[in-house]
This record gives sequence, C-alpha cells and structure tokens, in this order.
Amino acid sequence: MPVIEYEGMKIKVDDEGYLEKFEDWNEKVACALAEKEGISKTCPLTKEKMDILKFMREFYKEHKAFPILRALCINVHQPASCAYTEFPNPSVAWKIAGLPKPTPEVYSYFGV
Amino acid sequence: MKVVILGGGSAGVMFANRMRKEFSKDQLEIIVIEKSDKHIYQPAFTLLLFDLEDPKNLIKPTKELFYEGIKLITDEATKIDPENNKVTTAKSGDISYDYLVIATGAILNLDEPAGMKEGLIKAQSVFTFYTLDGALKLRDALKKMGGGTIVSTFAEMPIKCPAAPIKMILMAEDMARRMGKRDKYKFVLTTPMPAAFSRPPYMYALNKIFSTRGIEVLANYAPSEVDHEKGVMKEYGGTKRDVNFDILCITPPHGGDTVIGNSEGVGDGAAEWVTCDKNHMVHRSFPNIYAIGDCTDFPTSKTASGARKQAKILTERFRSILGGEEPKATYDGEIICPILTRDKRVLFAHFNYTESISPAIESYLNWVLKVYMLRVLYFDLMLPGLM
Repeated sequence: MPVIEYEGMKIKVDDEGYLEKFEDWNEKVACALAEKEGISKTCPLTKEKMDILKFMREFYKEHKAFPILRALCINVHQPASCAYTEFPNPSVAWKIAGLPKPTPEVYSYFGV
Repeated sequence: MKVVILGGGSAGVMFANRMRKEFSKDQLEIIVIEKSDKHIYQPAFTLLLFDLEDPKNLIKPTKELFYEGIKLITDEATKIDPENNKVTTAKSGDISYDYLVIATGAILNLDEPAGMKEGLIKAQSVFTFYTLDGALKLRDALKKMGGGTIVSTFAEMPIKCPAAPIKMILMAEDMARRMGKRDKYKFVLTTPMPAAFSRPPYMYALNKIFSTRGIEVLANYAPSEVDHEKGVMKEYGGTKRDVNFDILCITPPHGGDTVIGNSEGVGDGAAEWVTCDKNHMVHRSFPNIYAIGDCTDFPTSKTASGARKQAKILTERFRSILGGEEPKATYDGEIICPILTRDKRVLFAHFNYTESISPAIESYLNWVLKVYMLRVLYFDLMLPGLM
C-alpha cells in the first residue's frame, strides 16, 4: 500500500492516490493530498478550498455521492463554478477531500 | 379529497390520468395546473435534427391529453404555501389541496455561461436543441454546413436526457460519414464530468465508439464563456482549454421551475430541484407533498421513461394511502435512455439506482422502437396511463 510522507505523517493511500480510510482525513492530510495533486504547497489550505472539501465529505457521509455542483457552491457561499476555479475540477477536490475512488454510483445525482 | 397536480408535462399528465382511472370522481377531485396550452414531445428533438421526425407530429393541445373528470386550469402557479396547503396562481387565485403532486419539470437557465444567450439569439454558430425552435435552427444549420468543427457541450449537470448531447454528436458524425465528407469535419464533445457517461457497460461501449470514430472527448470541462463571433468556448479552472467551433450545440444549465424557488422549503435552495425521498417520492419536509419527473432531486436520469415509472408507482402508493393502508410500492430509479449511435442503430442505456439492467447493444430493433414507435406509444399509451 503506497504511503505519502508529509511533515512527519505517513498517510496510507491506494495505488491511484485515494486516501485509504475516510476517517484518516484532517486538514493536514488535505494539505498533503493537495500537494501530491500539485494544487497547493501552502498549508493550511484556503478557507474557500476547505469549505468545499468539508461539504463534499459531509455529503458523501449521507449520500455516498458527488453533490450537485451548483448546490455545493451555494452551500459554501461561493460562485457556481467553485469546484472548477478552486480546484482544476470536482474530481480533484473529491480526492483531496479524502474520499475513495469514485464508483459509477457516485455520479448518480448527475443522471449519467 | 382533493389532489392538485402542478404541471401538465409528461409526468403530470401520466399521473393525472392514472389517478383518474384508479379513483372515481366521488372519491377524488383531481386538478391540474399547467401554464402552457401546448404539449410538446421533447424526446424527438434529437430526431428532428436529422430529419427523422416532422415537427408537426410533436405538438398536441394540452387539454386533449386528459381523461374526462380531470379539471385543467391553464394558469401559472406562482407560489406553494405548504403550511396552509394551498397554491397561489397568477390569474386563478389560491387553490387548496389535500395532497399536492409537483411535476413542474426543468427549465433552462440561459444566463450562464457568459455569451451563450447572445449566441443563441444570433443563431449563427451557437444553438441548443433543448427547445423546439432551437432544434429546428440547428437542423437547418447542419444542413447548410459543408465542413468545420462541430462541438456538443454540456454546460452543467444534471440535465434532461443526459445522453442527448452524446446522441447529437454521434449522429452528426455519422451524417458527415454518410455524405462522404468526414475528412472535412472535426467533432468534439465536452463534459463537466470525468467521462461522457459513467455507467458501465454503456460507458465502455460509448468510449469505444468515440475513439474508433475519431470524436474528441474533453472531460472535466466546465464552459465559462462562449464567444459566438470568434467561435471560441473557454472553460473555468486551471487548464484553460479553449475550444474552437463552427457550430456549438450547447446544453444550457437546468434548474427547477420558478414556482419552486418562490416557495420556501420546497426546493434545494440551489438549482431548485424539489427535495424528496428517492423511493417514496414524498417531500422531505411536507408529508402531503409529492414530486415526480424532471423537477425532482432523484439521483437518476431526468427522462420521460423515469416519469412514466414514477407516475405508476406513485398511483400505487396513493391507492394504499387513500385506502388506509401502508404503501409498499417503491421507485427504484429505473430509467431507459435510447442513445442513437449512427443511422439505423440505437443503444439502450437501462439502469436503476443500483445496477445496469440491459446489455450495451447497438441494434436496428432499438432504432425501430425509438424512431418509429416511441412517439406513438407515448401519446396513445403512456400519457393515458395505459403503459
């Protein structure tokens, strides 16, 4: 199992870099995953990014799915394209939020 | 006992007619509030683009779709008051209900991305087939085109019939091939999702079709701006991939009807989809309000096939509820999406909340069903609640 080393932490991820355990995530782990994805080298991440990540985690806990992106951005009080402007795209945000590799069911709210 | 149905589109008509068959006038008063006096068969818009359907076959007067004993009010619902069990209308005053079924469908939001609305009004290089008028304009533009770049794009998800932009680009590519002009065209599909379709086995079949037929797919692409004069689409995010086009077929962002946004606590507060239980179709906050069809936040495709199944299941639930029994029928998210892949071939994506139901097969039989039979089945059997 691959491990990301970050400021003394050892973070277990799968072969594609998705966090192994949902509960292992915290703000510092988010920094490590963001750096690995080439998003940000500064820690902590900005409030805008963290709000998106936390919302995605809460939504995942309840629905096991991606939120509808307009609803995500309105809930965190950001412009409707927030998942694309704060991260390259929502899939990257999903990974940094410490969520597992997406299955087809994850996209169910998008209807495809 | 009175049931008010908001919306006389596919879901509203199917449900109203099924309920009228189920309950006598003495048992139940059924009122439908619908603003449009015309009902348009939208699933054929992709057929119109390639002259596979005649627009005059797609429109029927709304009032002719209902069984006798259903009261149709042609008016706009402006607000739902769930605390007092009433709906406010623009011209007909307040209408009270014992049960409310919301079937208001989805509307198009033309304000985003920037420049899209201007492009659609100009109708020179930017089109959408999500309206009848738009589909006819795009059909004519495709006919005039001798070569160039055709781009089909989803602006945002979810949308009605999420495979429709895929059908458009596949059929356009096939049209160029059959005219012997394939080398004069470039075809691009952009999607804000990680892939054009996420459900196996359909995603594998479609990915293979895209790659073998030379259709470029840009994933994770959220358009921010459309410049119809320069023929360029730009994206949000870090990669900044500009897409050049001669014809851009865009699917505007969708949302719930204005009445949902005007009614506190009924919608999701974002795109204004009605928040309801995905299996029981009952509103999450108001136990005498239900929703079916495209207006809902069900985690499945927004299709007429889904509306048909939901109308059937909800009628069964009402049979139990009004009979004093615990309702057992549940909606499992089943939808069927016919994807035209090329001339004489259609692939059916058929799935529910948890699993894919049919294999990914392109067949002529599916083509016959989609192109020649579905409209007739829709008007003659599905809307009357007989199928």
